[in-house]
Amino acid sequence: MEALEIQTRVVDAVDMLSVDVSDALRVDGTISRMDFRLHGRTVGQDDSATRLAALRVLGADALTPFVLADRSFDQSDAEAFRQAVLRYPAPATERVGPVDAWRMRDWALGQVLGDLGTPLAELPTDLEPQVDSTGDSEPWTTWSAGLLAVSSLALPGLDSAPRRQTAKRRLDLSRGMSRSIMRRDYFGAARLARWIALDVAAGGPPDEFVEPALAHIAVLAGHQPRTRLEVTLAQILLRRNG
Amino acid sequence: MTVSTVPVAERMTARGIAWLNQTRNHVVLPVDVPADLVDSKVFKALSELALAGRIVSREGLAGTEASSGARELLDFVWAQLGEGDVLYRLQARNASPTYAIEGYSLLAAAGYRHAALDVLCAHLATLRGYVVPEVVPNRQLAIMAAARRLGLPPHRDPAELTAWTWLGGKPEPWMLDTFNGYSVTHTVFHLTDHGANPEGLPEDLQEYLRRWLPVWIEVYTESGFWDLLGELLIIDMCLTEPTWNTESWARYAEAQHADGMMPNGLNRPTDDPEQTFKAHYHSTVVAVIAGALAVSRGLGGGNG
Repeated sequence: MEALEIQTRVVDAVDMLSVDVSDALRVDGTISRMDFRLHGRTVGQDDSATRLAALRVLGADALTPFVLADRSFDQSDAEAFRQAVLRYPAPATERVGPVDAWRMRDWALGQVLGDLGTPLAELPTDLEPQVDSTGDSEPWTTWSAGLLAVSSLALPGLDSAPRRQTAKRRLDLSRGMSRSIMRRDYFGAARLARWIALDVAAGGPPDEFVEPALAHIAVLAGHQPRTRLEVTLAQILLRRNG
Repeated sequence: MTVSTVPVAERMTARGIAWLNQTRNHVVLPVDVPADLVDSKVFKALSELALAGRIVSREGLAGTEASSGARELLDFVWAQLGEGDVLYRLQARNASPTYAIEGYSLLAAAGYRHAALDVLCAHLATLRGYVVPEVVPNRQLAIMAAARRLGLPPHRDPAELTAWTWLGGKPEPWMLDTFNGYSVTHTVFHLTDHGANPEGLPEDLQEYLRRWLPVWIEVYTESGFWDLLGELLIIDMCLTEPTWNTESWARYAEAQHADGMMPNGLNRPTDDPEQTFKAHYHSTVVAVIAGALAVSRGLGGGNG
């Protein structure tokens, strides 16, 4: 296959999985607790390679129905992730500014899998030494841009350097979100809105603009599956606060 | 953060004023022009040149060369306007529009007075017709600012007008577009008299701007829309506590041409001097004012 064709297929698979995860996060009873299985969506399919790649891209976000929407998790779901991680190990480095994004995302995945009772030895457990400590003084423009790539760390209970920085830099988060909307980068805006929502959910100050921003993004870009997933997660986090 | 910006801003104003004086002959009015034949675009340009001259003169900190250039510009505009006679003829011929009063108020604040026009302005300010022009709220604030400069009573409640502006509504910050951007800048210009009185802007709007102005400045720096970026940098200088944006200032200064012209960021300058003046004099006026205010604020000047 041509590289472009592979890329297109992975993007399509990521979109499909995002739609499934978003649907599973809905708690309106339209999907039964047992219906959401990662294993059946990835392993044993004709295009398993692509589907496992999609699982790798979404990382911890693919587990959110189990931790935020009470979907039942079992060993088969852990097995799907084990196969995905073995098949697609993290590249040596993928730095976004001071952030080693792959390593941080894998740390988040390992934490969530561990919380679900299925730790995966291939994933890093020592995130903190890898985190640059200049986050507090970095300009809001580059700092908020760096958070986009690690939005899967924006989950309740994950204590990380980016999370601690966002608790101190709410205005800079909001500035980054607004700038992203003005640049029509709705996916990026939704990811920053998720960080804001997490801080609100964790007892931080209320945010005047995050709800209208999420509504705005949902109307203009809710048809984009990954954007919709980020919006859904942010809205769930905001509701947890209420 | 201001240390590196002040010399940059000082150079910007000096070069911009020099360019405006070199090219000002593209806006001339015929001697003894009748009111009906005053070209509105020429009149608008003259008013804006007067604004640049007035602010640089007022701040007085943008360097000796800039100060004398500003006075030269004001003298030129006053001469073009027949030492106020053209303004008087415009206002007497058609009493309702306020643009002649607004232009005159800038010159009057810089010391250029016309006795008969003063009498006419004072009379018009007593009329009900002066209170109710159907213009958007930030234009009403412009009329009010002109009255203030001429020592006339306010015709409306400024708080009520401010509440009806885009800025006064404190909207979601991402809803700013070019049109609203200019509304915001003009609301701040008129409430603070272009930075002379930062306290004229209510504290809640100061806070709103401190939060979101850096976003807008970043977006318009990235897009290279120098005309609006310059106005946004001006209103930062109109706050009681400017946010400064050193990186944007540096990018903005780099955009100024060696001859002093600041391109508007929309139209590519051509080889035609007249077309170039028409397209880019406004953005150069903006740069001159932005630089003068940045020098003044950066050095702790009192704006008055």
